[in-house]
Amino acid sequence: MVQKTNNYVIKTEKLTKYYGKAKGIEDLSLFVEQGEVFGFLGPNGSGKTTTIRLLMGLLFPTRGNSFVFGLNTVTESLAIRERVGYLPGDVHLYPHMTGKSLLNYLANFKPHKKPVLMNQLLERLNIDLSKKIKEYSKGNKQKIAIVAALMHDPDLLILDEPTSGLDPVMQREFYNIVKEFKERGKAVFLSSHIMSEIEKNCQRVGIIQKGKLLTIENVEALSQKKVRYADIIFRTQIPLEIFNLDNVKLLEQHNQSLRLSVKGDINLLLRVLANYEIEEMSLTPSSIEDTFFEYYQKEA
Amino acid sequence: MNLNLLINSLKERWLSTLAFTGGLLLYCWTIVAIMPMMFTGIAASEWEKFMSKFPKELLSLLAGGGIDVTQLLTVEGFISLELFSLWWIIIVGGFAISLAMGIVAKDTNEGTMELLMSYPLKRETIIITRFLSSSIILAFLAFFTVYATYLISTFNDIPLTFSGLTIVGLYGWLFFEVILLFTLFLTIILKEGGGATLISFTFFLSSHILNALADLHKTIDKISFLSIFKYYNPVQYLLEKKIDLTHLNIFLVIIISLFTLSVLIYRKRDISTL
Repeated sequence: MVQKTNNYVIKTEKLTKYYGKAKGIEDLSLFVEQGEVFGFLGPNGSGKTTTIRLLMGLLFPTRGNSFVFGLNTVTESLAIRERVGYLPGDVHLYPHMTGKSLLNYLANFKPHKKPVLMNQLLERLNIDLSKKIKEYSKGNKQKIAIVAALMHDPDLLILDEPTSGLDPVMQREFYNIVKEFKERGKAVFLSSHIMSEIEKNCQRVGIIQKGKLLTIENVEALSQKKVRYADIIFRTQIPLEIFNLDNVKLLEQHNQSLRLSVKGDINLLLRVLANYEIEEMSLTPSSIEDTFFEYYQKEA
Repeated sequence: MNLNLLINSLKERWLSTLAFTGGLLLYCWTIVAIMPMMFTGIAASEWEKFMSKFPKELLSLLAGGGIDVTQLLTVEGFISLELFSLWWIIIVGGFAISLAMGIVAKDTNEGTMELLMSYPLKRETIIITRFLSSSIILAFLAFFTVYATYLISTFNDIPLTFSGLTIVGLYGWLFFEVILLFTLFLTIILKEGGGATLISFTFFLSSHILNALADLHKTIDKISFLSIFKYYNPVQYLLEKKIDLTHLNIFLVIIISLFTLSVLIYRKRDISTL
């Protein structure tokens, strides 16, 4: 018998969803705490949206459990949706409504909560609500969906690829808004396939591939496991055996030029290199993206 | 039931409902206007002779079951043949099919169901509310038609009774509800709208053919109880001016069964596609 939990904003236990024989997600266990921005990273089709839809009660799990605010997502999804702001990955709005009538219509579905943030969000995201939805660009539709998700000042934001279609200025503004939510103690579950977004805005990240959660890491800790690329030109020919280190891989060699990948701590390599004459050396600024792909390769 | 959703569903349909209302008004007016011409200068024997030139099957198909050609020379028979027995069912029934699409299939196909379901709405609330809004529209169209017919016929001194037409309105509405719910049930089972529309249209057309041909062939007659048209007879309602309880019970059983099954199945449905 699975116990309800009130310690986490989100908690899943071996959550599994199959679509017929096709796997959506399998045995996914994670948690998200109050005041945390949790990144959910994975390529398209990896199971991010399935997980989110299970959390929202849109899908029924094949097995396993999930809780939001300690409430079961299958039996108590109505109470959950009262407190959650959800931005779907694929935004579809009613084309014949104006922006204003759509937001008013959606606002009325939470009669006990006023859309207290609506005007502020409209101003910050710079949206004209007088047009019909079908006349808006993709970016403006996305902005309206963001306002719809955030206007009731929810306790938890579940955002599926939130910056899709937004220009860089609006992306920055959007993440400022997310940051303010976090600072006010709200939790954010942010799904994305863009690693830099996760790196900049999240405290922890779950990496998912082919429906399986590969790892959950602190973004800071993950950065320390980064893969860096070292491009080195030596003054003389050097023996390649010196690179037989656990975290170093020789990628390319052309005469005295080498390209190495270094995973994690770089000091070991630097100590080895100190024994040789170096003409030039550069370390490519690495990102979480490389680490992400490193996980993929490991799994594959 | 959700009031916000109900008001919005009615708003979405007001323009098409208005168009259908106008169309039905014109149709009623035309039928009532030509009615006096039928009853002047045509003897029943001449009429029968004229009608005997047409194949019985064709007449049955056009008139629907339960109507005798001689009844065309009565006010009740004429209005039933030209309006209530078939064409009204086809016109408003077609609209009922499109209303059924709007209950869940349209939102599912267009991806807006996910948006709607991200708010605190139960699956069954969506079905029940949208069904209610469709039923209001169909009731409006059904009773608008019969009362418009009553008013136009009264102005033209044609003796159609208010009570008889009200009963026709009631059974017409129940028939439209069956079409609505049958199509809704198919959209839920098939998880899409196009196929459900086609099957629903084919089913009701076959049902009409089955009932129409029942008088002509004994074998067909034996299975004609399967046709929903068997339990809908506007001439009878107009002449007898009373509710046929057998017909009423059959309609109610079908409506309650289809509605319950639709809600029960949909409340366990995933809101998405792979």
